[in-house]
Amino acid sequence: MSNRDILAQDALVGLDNSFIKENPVFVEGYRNIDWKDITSLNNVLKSVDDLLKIYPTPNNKIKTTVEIIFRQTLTRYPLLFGYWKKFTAIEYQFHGLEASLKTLEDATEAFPHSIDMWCDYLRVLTLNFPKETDLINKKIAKGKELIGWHFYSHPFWDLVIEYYTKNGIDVIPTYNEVVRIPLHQYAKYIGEYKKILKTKKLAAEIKKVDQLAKQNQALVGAIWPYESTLRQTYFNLTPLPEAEPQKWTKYLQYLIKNKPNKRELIESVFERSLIPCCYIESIWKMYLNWTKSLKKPQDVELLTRVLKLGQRGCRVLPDSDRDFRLSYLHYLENEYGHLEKESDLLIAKYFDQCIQDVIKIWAYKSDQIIVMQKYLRMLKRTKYGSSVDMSSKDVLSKQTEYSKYLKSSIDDFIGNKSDGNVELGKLINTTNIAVVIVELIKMTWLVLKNVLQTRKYFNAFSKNEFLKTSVEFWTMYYDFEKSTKNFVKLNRFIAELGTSIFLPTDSVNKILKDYREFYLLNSTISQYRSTVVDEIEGPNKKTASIMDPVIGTLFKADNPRWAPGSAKQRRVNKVEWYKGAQYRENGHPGISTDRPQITNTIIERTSKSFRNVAPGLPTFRNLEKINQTGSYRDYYTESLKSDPK
Amino acid sequence: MDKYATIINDEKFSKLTLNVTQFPKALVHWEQLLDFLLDTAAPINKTISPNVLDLITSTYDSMLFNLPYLENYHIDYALLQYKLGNISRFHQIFKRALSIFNQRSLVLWVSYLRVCNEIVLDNKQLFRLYENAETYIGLHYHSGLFWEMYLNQLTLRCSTKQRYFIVLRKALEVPMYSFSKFYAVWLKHVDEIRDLSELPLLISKEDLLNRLQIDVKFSGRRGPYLTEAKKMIKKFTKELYMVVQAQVLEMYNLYESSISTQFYTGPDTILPLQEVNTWLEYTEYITTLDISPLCHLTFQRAITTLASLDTIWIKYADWLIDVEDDYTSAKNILVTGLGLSIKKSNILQRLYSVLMRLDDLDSLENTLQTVTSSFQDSIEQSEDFELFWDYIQFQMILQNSTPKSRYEGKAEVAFLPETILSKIQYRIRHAIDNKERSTLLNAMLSLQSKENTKLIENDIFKYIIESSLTKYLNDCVFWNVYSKLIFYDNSLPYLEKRKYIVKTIWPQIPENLKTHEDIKAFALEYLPEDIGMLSK
Repeated sequence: MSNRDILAQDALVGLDNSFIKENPVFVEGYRNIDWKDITSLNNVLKSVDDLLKIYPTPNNKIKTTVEIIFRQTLTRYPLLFGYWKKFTAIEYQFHGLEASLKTLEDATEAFPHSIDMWCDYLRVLTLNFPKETDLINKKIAKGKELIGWHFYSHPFWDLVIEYYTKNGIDVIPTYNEVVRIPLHQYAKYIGEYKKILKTKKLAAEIKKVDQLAKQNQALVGAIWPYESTLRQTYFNLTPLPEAEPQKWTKYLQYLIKNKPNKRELIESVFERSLIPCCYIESIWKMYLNWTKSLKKPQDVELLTRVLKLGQRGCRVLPDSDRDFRLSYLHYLENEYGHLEKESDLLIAKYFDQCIQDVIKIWAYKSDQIIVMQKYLRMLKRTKYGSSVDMSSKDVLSKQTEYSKYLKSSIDDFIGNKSDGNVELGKLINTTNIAVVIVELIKMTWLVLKNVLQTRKYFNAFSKNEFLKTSVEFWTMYYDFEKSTKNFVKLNRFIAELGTSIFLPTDSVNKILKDYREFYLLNSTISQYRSTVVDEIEGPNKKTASIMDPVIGTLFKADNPRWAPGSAKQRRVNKVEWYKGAQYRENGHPGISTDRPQITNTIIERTSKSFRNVAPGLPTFRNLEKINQTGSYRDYYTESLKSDPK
Repeated sequence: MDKYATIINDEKFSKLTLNVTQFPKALVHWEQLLDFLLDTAAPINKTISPNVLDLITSTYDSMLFNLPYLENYHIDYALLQYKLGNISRFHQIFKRALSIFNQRSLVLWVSYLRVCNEIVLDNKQLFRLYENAETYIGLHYHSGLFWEMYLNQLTLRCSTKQRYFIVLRKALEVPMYSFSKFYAVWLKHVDEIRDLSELPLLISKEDLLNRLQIDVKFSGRRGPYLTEAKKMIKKFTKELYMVVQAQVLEMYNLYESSISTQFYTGPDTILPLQEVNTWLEYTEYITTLDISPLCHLTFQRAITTLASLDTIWIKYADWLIDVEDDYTSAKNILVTGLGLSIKKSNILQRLYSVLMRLDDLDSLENTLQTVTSSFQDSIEQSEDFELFWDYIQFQMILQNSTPKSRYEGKAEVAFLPETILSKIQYRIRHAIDNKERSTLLNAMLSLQSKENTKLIENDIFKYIIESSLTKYLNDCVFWNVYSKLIFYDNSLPYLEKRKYIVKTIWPQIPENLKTHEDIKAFALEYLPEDIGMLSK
């Protein structure tokens, strides 16, 4: 079962109705759980405890429910080691020893840098299954690799040495390893090691150990100032004290600068820091950069480590952290194509996975667009690549193939036919489809040079709702019409901006400025006359709005909803105008008032025009509202209400 | 020695005249010169020697030629002539001054009318002036004084009361600072009415009958009937008062109270930003109210105060175009603004466009010619890029429009007329900043057509490379635009374009630029497969 499926489950689904009625605290606790609040989680845990007191021998339904709750918690937060311990105990109670051992093993995989979990696991394993020597040795080796260099890993080493001693395995190699590691308890192991060597009368070795001890002591001394200040080394949901990440960062900077050869140590400190600081982007970045810096060219193993690390970061960090993900994608993109084929394939694979993750979590349009652009570039390079040295026939066939692939993906999405087999089809959504369409048009127009087909595409897609707000699509369209110097179509396009095509004001401004320039550089006075002057001023005066490419573009800048003639139009129906927000909020934006007015005012008439007959009585509008205070419009709440997301 | 000789031999005089010739737009020097002249020439009366008077009038004339928006000096000048008995000069000076302000200067009108009250004996002639003033400045926020003068003259000079009441009734509705004074007068008149037959002076008969049900020819007991009628009239007066009061207070609270400068202060004085913003917001407010004469008047007030600022001229012109659909007035405003505003390029841009819209191509060509001759025909040397660039754009559309025969046969050898190309090349060499450089380069893409890519490449891009213009060669934008130019060339097959970009253009990119992130912009968008070739 995938993580997503676990999280989507409803733990209460299989329970009897009577059970649900009898245990309202437990049921409500789970239903109202706030996954971001540790107290809420602890309350649910406590209610599980209470439940198991009421039902000391729970039935299978209850067991399943409890297990789901734990799995959901631990899938979300694998670093909550207390929960793993509790879960192990409960699994023991429910299903016995093997199940609890399995849980512990899961724990060491989900939270691989936890000393607690490793010690618990090894303890249970060696005590209860001492004959599984192969498994034990394999796990010890794994443990050493993951937590051996942890400053406080002495319980682990103690366990290993104890197991070896009990089973008559030579401990000298292990000691020899430990005394090189800067541990909090380093002195203890030196003493023990020397004792053993003494009993074996290996004087020469003792001398060597002394020397090692001296070096190690110096190292421990050097890192102690950092180690001693660390306050929180465990994961919690409550906010981390601000100083903690800084302490880790300083510690790591010190190590990278001064002890660059102690790679195991640096890596171990990185991994430890990412337990409390697993949501701190800067530390992930630092870790990734450091790992990248170790890379020798063509070293597949190291490359894999970098890739895995990047992927881990992408999956752990909060969705809103863009920098790490973007720089990781950027790195992959840059790296591709410079390495051996095997490495390239690997990069492409990780790139695809990262893109898929990111497309799911990033809601912002700009991000969706960047990501899709990156994806298409990589797709073209990996699957439809061509080079200038290939024959023109081969190049063309690659490009055609690529276009066809794009076309079919778009068709599938628009026709809702996605069968899930097409890679790209799975990634397209309403926000990023514009990028794919633009790519298709770009290929058709500039690469395959099929102008007719290009126009067909523009005609077909421009009616599409998803594209009404796409800067990429309309910029491409604008470029295309520019290349044909079709001023009629361009004028219409400019008029539609802001009225039926909605782009950000900044983009509209850029287009307007460019179009004005383009028009003046390429058009002629007679063309201007026939499209603008004659239409408006000529004998067949058109009151309809004609977009003047020279003046209209100036008016529309910073005011995309401006349309020629609209200001004039408002005088035709003044009452409408008085009802609008612009009039009612005049002078005090945000506060709407109905100002009293004289509806038959004579101030625009000259006194002479009355021809010595007194004016009539004035009539009023909104007189009764004269003492009302304006209503304050709360745009913030309004927009929140209209967009609950 | 006579006064004239005293003046012109005075060292101070020569120093002051030197100052104004050197700095003709500096108000302070003009003021010093004028003060000196008037002091020295005192007492000024009809005995003044013609030489001295000539000196003074020509000083006024030149001062007002250079600084035409100085309302008070127009008045001083006119009053000086009045004092000397030169009545026709007096009228002439006021008329000229009013036309400079598009007839919309309250100070000028009030000062003018005040004297006219005394010297214009013909009633018709005088009231024609008042009617004119009413049209242009009747809605001024501070027009109270004008209305008082108007009513006063009507009382003095008219035998009937009709016109007087119409003017008073109109004044009641004008949102002006001293509005309540007129209500007091109005109510006093209402009280003074002795008979029903006088009521139509205040309100039209139809409305009296239809809306207030007052029959002027009532045949019953007229006394109590009249009292009732007065009550009703007072009621509507009160309502009108409330509405106008609300309007006046709104204007006062939002804008009028924060305005401290109402007059032109010369190009050297910089108004506080706060004040400038108040004026700009005030015009915004008034145009939203959309009372056409009030809009004109407020804009005129704003341009008088902010005359050195291009924004306000453009705002007025834009309003004239957009709302009033009056391109000719917009043109006039822009032309005046061009003389008074410190920054010219934005006003010119509007002006060129308006002239084109008016189909007034002669003026357009003349304006372009004037602009370039103010740079000794080398507009490319202007510090203001916008000024240069607008000039080029409008020159282009004019050149494109000249009959083809002149360029026929040459079409293949030029994508730009020779004169313009050389100006652009000069500008390319001397561009001030990156923004300007990228505008110029991108404009070259705008000029691309089916046939001319090679020409643009040779005349611009290769020209830049051959001239080793390092500012371009070390800027990623140049290489990206260059690549785009080739890629957008419709006359070449795809692979050929691609090969040319990858194998000919890219190898010319300087080494230090090849690792720059921005250099990839073009490749990322159009040739992602070849991105590796960039660093080779």
